[in-house]
Amino acid sequence: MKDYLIFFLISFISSMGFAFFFSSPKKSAKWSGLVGGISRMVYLYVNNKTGRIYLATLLGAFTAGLFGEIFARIFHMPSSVFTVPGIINLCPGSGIYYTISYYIQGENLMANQKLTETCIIAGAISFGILLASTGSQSLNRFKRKNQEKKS
Amino acid sequence: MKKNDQSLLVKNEAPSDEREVMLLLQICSDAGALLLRNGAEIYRVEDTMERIVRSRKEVINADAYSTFNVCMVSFNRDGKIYSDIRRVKDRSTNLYIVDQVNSFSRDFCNGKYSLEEALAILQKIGEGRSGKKLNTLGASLASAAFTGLVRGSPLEMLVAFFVGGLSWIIYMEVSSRKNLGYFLGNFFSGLVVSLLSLALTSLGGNLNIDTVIIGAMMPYLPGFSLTNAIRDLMGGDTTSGLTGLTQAILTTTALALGVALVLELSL
Repeated sequence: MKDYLIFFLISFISSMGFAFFFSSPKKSAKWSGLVGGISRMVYLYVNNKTGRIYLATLLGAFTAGLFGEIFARIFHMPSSVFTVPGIINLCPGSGIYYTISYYIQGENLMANQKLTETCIIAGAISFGILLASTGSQSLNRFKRKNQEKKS
Repeated sequence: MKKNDQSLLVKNEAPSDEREVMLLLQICSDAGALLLRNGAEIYRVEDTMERIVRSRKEVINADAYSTFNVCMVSFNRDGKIYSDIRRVKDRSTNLYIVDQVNSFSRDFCNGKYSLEEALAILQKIGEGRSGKKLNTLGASLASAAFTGLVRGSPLEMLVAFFVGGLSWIIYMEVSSRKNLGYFLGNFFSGLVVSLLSLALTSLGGNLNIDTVIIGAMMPYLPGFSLTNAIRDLMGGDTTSGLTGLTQAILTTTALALGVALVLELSL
């Protein structure tokens, strides 16, 4: 439990840092941080329960996308303001680094393994975000159709 | 996503003369270029441009098209065809401006501004805040926190805080004087990050250089453009998606080469 709390705090700060880094609007920075924290929690929980890192990444990214879309509705801002800093905690930065470092040490087998892992994680993140944003877009279309029927 | 013409209820008067049509055209392509320059997704650029043009009566056949670094719009009014092309050379990420243009277009379509007012507002948004200090603080915070996420010790987080901030300052200074292009620029930032980490960790204190570099190179990784590229790809804007994807992969490769060079020499 304490572990979760520490990681929530760290990912909150990390996402907020990235929100500043991408010059997002000031009032949205803390909400971006919240998205990052929650998505990392989901990732940790699934990873601890099932031990499947790809599934955990997918669900984490989906959560970030979902909360991004929700906050976008609440604050009337583009959803990427919340989503992009939110998913950054899941990005396979260490995967890229270890790929390089294994290649340099001449351990090609390990390096290839890390490279594949990195690519799949990047794909999982994109797919998670995509699921969330597609859901929101079809919801939009549904709303519009309803409005047309009424008017 | 964008072909829902009936649902866009046109509330505003038609542009009265030639000059007003030209103003509308200029507002539209200004807004599109601003969005594109500051890292909005392609569908948002196209959607916004089309909405702005369609928000005025008597404008027909409005179409907007945008790829990775160019946006164009064309429409027909009274038998005359108007069109404009904007080329955007350097794309960066500034979510503040994207948000501002987004709310501007909402207000504009609801008829809140006159055409002259709208143009002035867009210009003001474009000049916008640069926020270099905040960006640097963000880079430092993010680097430090990411080092923590890969289970680095508090001391390593502190080192990553300084490496992240310093390397960003150096990178900004150099890239503002010399136009390096994205590949060389990222190669250079990889060099700076790993050199600084190497220097600071070799001062002593039994620090792990891996976690420091992983944290400090996070701000340069193209997480943002990768996400955008995948979205474009799946949303049907295949050209921009593929361009963005390729650029993201090349950017990562350049960064990795920069880090690898220093690591190779230091071993």
